[in-house]
Amino acid sequence: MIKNYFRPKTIDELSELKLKTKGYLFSGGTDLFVKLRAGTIDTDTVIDTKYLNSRKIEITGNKLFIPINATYSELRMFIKQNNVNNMLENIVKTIGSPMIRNRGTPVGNISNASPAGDFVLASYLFNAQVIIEPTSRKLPVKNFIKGPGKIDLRENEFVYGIELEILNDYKFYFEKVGRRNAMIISIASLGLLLKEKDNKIKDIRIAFGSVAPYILRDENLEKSLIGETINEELFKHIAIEYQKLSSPITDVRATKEYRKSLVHNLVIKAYNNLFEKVVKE
Amino acid sequence: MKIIGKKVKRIDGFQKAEGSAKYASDYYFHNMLYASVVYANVPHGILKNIDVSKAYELPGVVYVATYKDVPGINKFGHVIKDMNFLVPIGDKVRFEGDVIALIAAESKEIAEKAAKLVSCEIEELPPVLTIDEALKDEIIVNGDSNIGFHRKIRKGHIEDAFKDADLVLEMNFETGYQEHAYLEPQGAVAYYTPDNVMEIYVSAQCPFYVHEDVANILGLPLNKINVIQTETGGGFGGKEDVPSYVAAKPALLSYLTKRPVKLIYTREMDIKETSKRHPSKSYFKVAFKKDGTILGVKSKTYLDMGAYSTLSPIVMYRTTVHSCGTYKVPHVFVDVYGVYTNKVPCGAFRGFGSPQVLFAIESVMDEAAKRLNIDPYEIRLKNTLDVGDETATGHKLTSSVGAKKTLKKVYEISNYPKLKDYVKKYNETNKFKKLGLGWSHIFYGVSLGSGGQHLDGASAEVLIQPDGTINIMIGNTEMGQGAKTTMAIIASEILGQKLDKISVLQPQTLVLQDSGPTVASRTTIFSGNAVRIAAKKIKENIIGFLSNYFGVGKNEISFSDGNVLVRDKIFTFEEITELCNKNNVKLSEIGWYKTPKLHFDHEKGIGEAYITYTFSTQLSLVEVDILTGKISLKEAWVCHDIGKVINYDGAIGQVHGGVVQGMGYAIMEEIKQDNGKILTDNFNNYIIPTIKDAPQNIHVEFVEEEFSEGPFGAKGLGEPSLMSSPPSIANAVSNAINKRISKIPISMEDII
Ligand SMILES: Cc1cc2nc3c(=O)[nH]c(=O)nc-3n(C[C@H](O)[C@H](O)[C@H](O)COP(=O)(O)OP(=O)(O)OC[C@H]3O[C@@H](n4cnc5c(N)ncnc54)[C@H](O)[C@@H]3O)c2cc1C
Repeated sequence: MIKNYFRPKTIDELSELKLKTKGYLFSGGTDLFVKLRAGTIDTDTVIDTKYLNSRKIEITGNKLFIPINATYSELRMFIKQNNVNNMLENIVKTIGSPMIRNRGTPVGNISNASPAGDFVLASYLFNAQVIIEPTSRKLPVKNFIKGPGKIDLRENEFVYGIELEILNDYKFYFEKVGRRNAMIISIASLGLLLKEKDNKIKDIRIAFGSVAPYILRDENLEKSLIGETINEELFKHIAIEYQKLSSPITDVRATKEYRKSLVHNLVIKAYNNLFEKVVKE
Repeated sequence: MKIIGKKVKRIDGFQKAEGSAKYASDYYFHNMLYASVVYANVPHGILKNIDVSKAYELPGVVYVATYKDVPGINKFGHVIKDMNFLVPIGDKVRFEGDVIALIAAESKEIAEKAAKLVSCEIEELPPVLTIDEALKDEIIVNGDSNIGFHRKIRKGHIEDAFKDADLVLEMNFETGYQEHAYLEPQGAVAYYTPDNVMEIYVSAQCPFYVHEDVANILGLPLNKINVIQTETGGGFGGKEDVPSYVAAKPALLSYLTKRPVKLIYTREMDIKETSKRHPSKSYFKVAFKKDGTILGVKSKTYLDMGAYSTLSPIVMYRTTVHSCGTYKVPHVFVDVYGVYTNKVPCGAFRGFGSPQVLFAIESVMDEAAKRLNIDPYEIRLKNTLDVGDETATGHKLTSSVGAKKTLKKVYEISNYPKLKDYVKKYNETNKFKKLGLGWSHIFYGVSLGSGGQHLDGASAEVLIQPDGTINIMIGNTEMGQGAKTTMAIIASEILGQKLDKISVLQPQTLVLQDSGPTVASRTTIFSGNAVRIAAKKIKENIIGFLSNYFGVGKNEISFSDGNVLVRDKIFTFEEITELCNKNNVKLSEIGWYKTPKLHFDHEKGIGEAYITYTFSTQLSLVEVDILTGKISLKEAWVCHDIGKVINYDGAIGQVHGGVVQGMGYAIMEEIKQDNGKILTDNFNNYIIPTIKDAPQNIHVEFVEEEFSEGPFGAKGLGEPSLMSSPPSIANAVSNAINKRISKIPISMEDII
């Protein structure tokens, strides 16, 4: 049962409280309270971060900064109004429900570090940097997340924000496979960003969710694809390579065999949606 | 008709939308205790010992009850009493949700903590977890054999059918569990008052079952127990018999502590302990002539009852009767078995044992159509029932058979030939997405029928206050389906008072006679008739008085739109009721309705199975993603013959909800278990449809073949609205992927 509740206003106050009380940070609470109810987190202290004086969502140079406490709904509004990284919309709109998006936050999502986290996948795709206070550390999301539910954070530290690259002229495909269309944790997901020139790959980023203990992204494989001609053969090759790299598990949502098939099929689907247009939406 | 069949505002809508309606968890009493439950948590074993001492040491714990504390009969069971309320030492644990002890404490948190401190020693036995294992009868779950019950139909000579057939199809089917997923979990508050009346506030479909069961458990006379149905946030069958098991817990604790006790289930407890739709396995062998005419049906269906029989024997009656679908079948040989396993006991669920076999027979019809090169629509039209025909149980239908009309209506509104064309073209040009069309044509025996006619009566009390407002109390329950509005419409039609002056109260068992359960799509007919009878009696009282008072003929008095017309003078309804009250006119009456006796031979399964039948047709359009296996219901066309439509918006709502809940059953909802333990114990992993999964368009039409016994000619809709959906969707998926689906729920993994 929760007995202590704090509302720090400054970075130092927050840091000090976290260190002293070992309490859990509470932003949207959409992960925290689920876990408290299920008993997978047991604490009597929560530290509400929502009263912290922090920066707002903003564009700085070629980066999109998403601070602590910024909700999915706020982010959606921002990207629409500023016409920036519109691809994110496709990911964000699949998260939970309107109620969850009004509370839940991207920072909460990466701090929760689930391999099924949809914004974790987005962060990988957009080469996110995680900004940590009070130490002002900054590290790539792939280094920040160390495993399912495990993050690189010291006892006095917290995530202050995330910085995403701003990408233009990319083709984009995102699909989250689940048995229903809302309020669903993905069985597998794929995000793919592709920049082409003369029917050849100029840049490509491919990330999978829920098919490994972490978000699956292989930058070496991506590099090897640069300069290749875009055609079905190439995507079949990509599909097979990622299938090899994936290491899904069987859980209550799906079997590992099915997830393996999905890794393959989602790449084929991405190709068909982006280039073949045989699949009408 | 003045108001029947018109669009009206739901009479209990505002309070529910605003949040002021009181559900079980909204009840608080001074000095109230909170209950928690100690479960066995093993699927099979023998209870050796219970140790409650640690729980008692926790401050705030007031009582820890075990079987020893039960003053009455420690047993439940609808047909046979094969389930312990609290498992006694030395007796068997038969599923993970068997209850060992109950705790009453000063707070919910303390009660829950204390539950963890009760330890029990259980000698584990190997569990029986599938129908196939159960049939071996090597390990006995309950009684003398795992095959607890058997029902059958024997009509004609089935072997003749196979001899004369041009096509004989043999197919196997499987269906899974379905969880009711009502919005409001089970819960009850019990208060053993200082004057020794046990008051029970419970979310329930049948307060009378709770009444009787709690009386047995506590050994109290029925006139000392008042069961008051709270607002009920959905039931779907899950609150038919289960609330007895729920309410008995706080009732016992309140009896023992003499304090009010509240028990509200968490979703996890609810899914683990309470009933579901029976999983099934069935085998069908069906004979057809070349032209598609059915000659005979032989079927064998096993229902997985789980650890206790509860309502299963009655569920099986419906399974049996519906095994041949809506069709004329001369030769019938149907067997249905209820099988014990060490899993959650299954019971009532919207459709009550019929969706399992309707999925099977409707799949058979589609497969036959394909093999015989007949359109699936035509084969149904050819075989369906009409006036003068006999059902599979030999029930000759004399009226109210709109089956054909529902088929024709769906054909027409869907523009079927064009739609078929569109689907064909789409599939030719799309590699990874396929569309499919699927028909279903079903019937449903309304109310309890010969399987439960002893329960088929219902009471209603109508009371007009001096100011013209009206209170109605019916013995059936509102649980979200809109019964209150339907009852108010019936009273309004007869008495002419406006709908917003009528309220329908929650039933109480100390006030009303046992009216049976609110199940089997029976409320509109039963309570509706009871209200009609009571309202008519009052109307006669008023007319008798007015005709004397004003010296006019009885036929010169009429009621409508909140007014009373006496020859050429208009009075408001309020003026008239005030006048009546001052002159001692009787303004309250009780209506009682029961159905004519049905004749049925239970040994052969032959006779009048139900008082009447609802007939329904659905056509579904699905899209299947071949790369992911994802199935989407794109559009559905549905038509039901429900006799006279009383509450139009309510009826449309039933159909929308039914189509979507049936879709969940067909393509999403899955109870996953590990060694008898349910893993999918909340809505994070037990996936039910959201609004984002509902099709954009569900086109609904009604055929109104009136039923002379029904109020204004009405039949029932609550369940058939769901039942048409699973077979239609499964047939559509089969059509899309060109492969027969023989198992629901269809998993995405089955597709790719
Ligand atoms: C019904 C429902 C549907 C959902 N659907 C989805 C979905 O579709 N996709 C998806 O990815 N997720 C989903 N989620 C999970 C959740 O909503 C998201 O992960 C969300 O982004 C969490 O954000 P939050 O602000 O609510 O986090 P919180 O619950 O407040 O925090 C999450 C965790 O991070 C810690 N934390 C919070 N802030 C910080 C910080 N600044 N620094 C360090 N640690 C911190 C908390 O202590 C906690 O352990 C769903 C949840 C629910 C309840």
